[in-house]
Amino acid sequence: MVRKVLEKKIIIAIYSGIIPGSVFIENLVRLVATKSVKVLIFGKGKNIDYRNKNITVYKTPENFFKKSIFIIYQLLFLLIIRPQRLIKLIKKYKYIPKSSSIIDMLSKILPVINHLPDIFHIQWAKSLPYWFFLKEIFGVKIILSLRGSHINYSPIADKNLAKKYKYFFPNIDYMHAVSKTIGSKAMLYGADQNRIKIIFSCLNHDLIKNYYKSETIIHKPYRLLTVGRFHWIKGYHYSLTAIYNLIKKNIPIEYTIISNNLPSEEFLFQISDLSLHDNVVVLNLSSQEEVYNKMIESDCFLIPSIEEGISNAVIESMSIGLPVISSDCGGMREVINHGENGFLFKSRDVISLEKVLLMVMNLNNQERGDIISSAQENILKNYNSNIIKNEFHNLYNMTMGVKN
Amino acid sequence: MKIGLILNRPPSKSETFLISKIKGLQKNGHEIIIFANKNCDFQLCKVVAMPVVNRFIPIQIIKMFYQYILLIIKIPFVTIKFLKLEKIDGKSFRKRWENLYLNAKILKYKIDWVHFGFATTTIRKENIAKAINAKMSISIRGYDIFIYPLKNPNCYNTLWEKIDKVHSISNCLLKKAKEYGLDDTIKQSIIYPAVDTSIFFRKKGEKQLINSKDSIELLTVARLHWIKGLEYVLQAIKYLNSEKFNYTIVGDGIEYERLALAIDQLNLTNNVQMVGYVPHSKILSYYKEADMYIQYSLEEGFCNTVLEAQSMGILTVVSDASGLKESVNNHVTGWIVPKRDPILLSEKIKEIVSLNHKELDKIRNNAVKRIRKKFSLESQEYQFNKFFNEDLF
Repeated sequence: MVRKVLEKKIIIAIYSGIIPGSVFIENLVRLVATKSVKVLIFGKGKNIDYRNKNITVYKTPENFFKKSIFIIYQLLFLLIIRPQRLIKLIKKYKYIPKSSSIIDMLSKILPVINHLPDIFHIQWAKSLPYWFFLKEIFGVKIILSLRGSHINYSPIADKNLAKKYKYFFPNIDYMHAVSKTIGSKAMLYGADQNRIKIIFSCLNHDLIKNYYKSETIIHKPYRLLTVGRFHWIKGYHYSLTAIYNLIKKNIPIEYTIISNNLPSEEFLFQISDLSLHDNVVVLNLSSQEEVYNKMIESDCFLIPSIEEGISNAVIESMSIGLPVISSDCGGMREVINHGENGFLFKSRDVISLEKVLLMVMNLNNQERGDIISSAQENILKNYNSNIIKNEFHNLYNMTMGVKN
Repeated sequence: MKIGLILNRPPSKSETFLISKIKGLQKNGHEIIIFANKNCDFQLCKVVAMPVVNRFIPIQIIKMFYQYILLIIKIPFVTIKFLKLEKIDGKSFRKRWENLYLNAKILKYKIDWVHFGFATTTIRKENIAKAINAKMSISIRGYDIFIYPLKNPNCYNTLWEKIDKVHSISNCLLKKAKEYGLDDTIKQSIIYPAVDTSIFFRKKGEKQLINSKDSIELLTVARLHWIKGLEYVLQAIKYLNSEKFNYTIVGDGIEYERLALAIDQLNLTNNVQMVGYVPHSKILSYYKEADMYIQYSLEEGFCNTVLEAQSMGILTVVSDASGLKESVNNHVTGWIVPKRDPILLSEKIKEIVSLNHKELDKIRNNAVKRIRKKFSLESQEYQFNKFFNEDLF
């Protein structure tokens, strides 16, 4: 059965709403688009040349005028080329998503209806209720990736959202989780454990294979690195306090944060209030290559997050040979075995972070080398792109086999 | 005297500092006109809505030309003077005319004082006062001084050159403003916020022995915002490791999710309630239930709720944020704990609970007395009247 399905090319729409999506999504798109899987991308954003004939981008314009023309074109296409879909849509109009702007709604859904995929792979759980009509009207299979705030904390704070999840989650064909922890969170909202497939994040091996930290010298001041956007979930208020406390104890540290957004007011305030201007550097690097070079130049990678699925930057650091310290939040405990391939501290606990930082700073070459080797072995074994690619292809095939 | 008060929006009922300030000035015979970006149902005085920018450019252009024609017909000299002052400040042609449109409503009024309720509201309005021959003053508040300049360095450089007088709600704010260029040639005045002690007062014998109670009620009234340090309080509650403590947060704000996650992760759902926005008139019932008030902010210009809590004889614990050190006298009217340290905060709470009734009552009485003496509405009224009167020509 699976073999039969494989013979036919599966069409997957990977939907995040924005083009390009996050590093994880972009890696996923490039990885799964092969001879047997065609990937469609819908959303607003930039024109990207993926240089892969198995990837097709359908971009929605943002300008009001262009959007109106786009809708007329899409409606005509639907009427002339796919009239049966239009009839279905009219018959089951009550399933069409509600939206404050009809223009926005039509510009979003029409290209998807015109280029209907076999599987609609949703990247953000909050958009699940919006897109569920594809299953209800056209029988498109739905896969939901469990990622970020949408599963980690939004439903805790928003009871209505939790209620929606409880309604939709049991009806999803399959779910993908980057860690067991995040998968178990979906089960709180009625997701079927047997329909959750754990597939770790993967690396862009073609790119990262050229980067390796061979230098063993530890810098003074100690070079600590974090890669992550400025958002409270990243826990910078805890890492900055720990660094402040260590600097007060005359332990020199240079803390670099690489982020793709501007520092938040909270971050700027903490820097000013703790007088860390001379100890903290914020970089906005445009390419992944530059990030990898910075990892090579650093002594240790730190993830102070309050909640994480599995941090891509941690996997990259481990692969490059940079020792990692992470909070024990979310899926990080599944990547890092404390003292074996990296280090964990208690989430939100500044004293615990200080202790771990001191321990890592004082590792001798042998101990540091053992940690790095073990980390690289772990990444090669579990985060290998070939393995992850097969896992995703299996997920798509299993989903195609689900009877509606 | 006619005072034009410039705000982002008319004060809500809960903004006691502004409400009591307006009432006090009116009581002393001043006429107050509020100029705000939004109009709303505000009864205390006249509110003039500032021009808004329409997102459709042709409509906006028509609106601008209409305002310009009105200005040139009604107040040609003021209009020319305003544009000249803007030019002297080096503003571009486009900026000058944009600012003329944005300030058109105020320029039409004859006012003695143009008073900005926040320093940030002065941006693009620096030349209004001089153009209409009025005095210019500002009130500096926590966000103005502690946060805004971090993202906008040198944002107040032009302001300090134009201003006649500065009002600060605390010493620490004034000190910080000086780091951003405020110099002593500009007249400065510290007028603390005030508490209506006829509403926020302590009934004798109302408080029970805290250490003999089955449940100890902790309270914070604050916006749900990182600067309020609520995450650290939640951690402190966790460190208390006792079902005996019940913590209520009154207020809403942008960081509800952040706190909801912290409550969930720290397993505090049975001990912590976030009750959301409560109108100021109904807050009293929360104070009445509270045994201890906690304000563990990372920074505060001052803090009205800390005054209200002390006025009601609630045991008050605050962080060592600048303004809070002026709101509470450590070990006399309450307790001050270094910020960002939830372990220390939890230890302090435990220590307070272990104190005997006599010691706690002494602190409560001291707090009530200090509030009545230093933060009364009468004193605020007198000082604001003096603020505007003594410097008028």
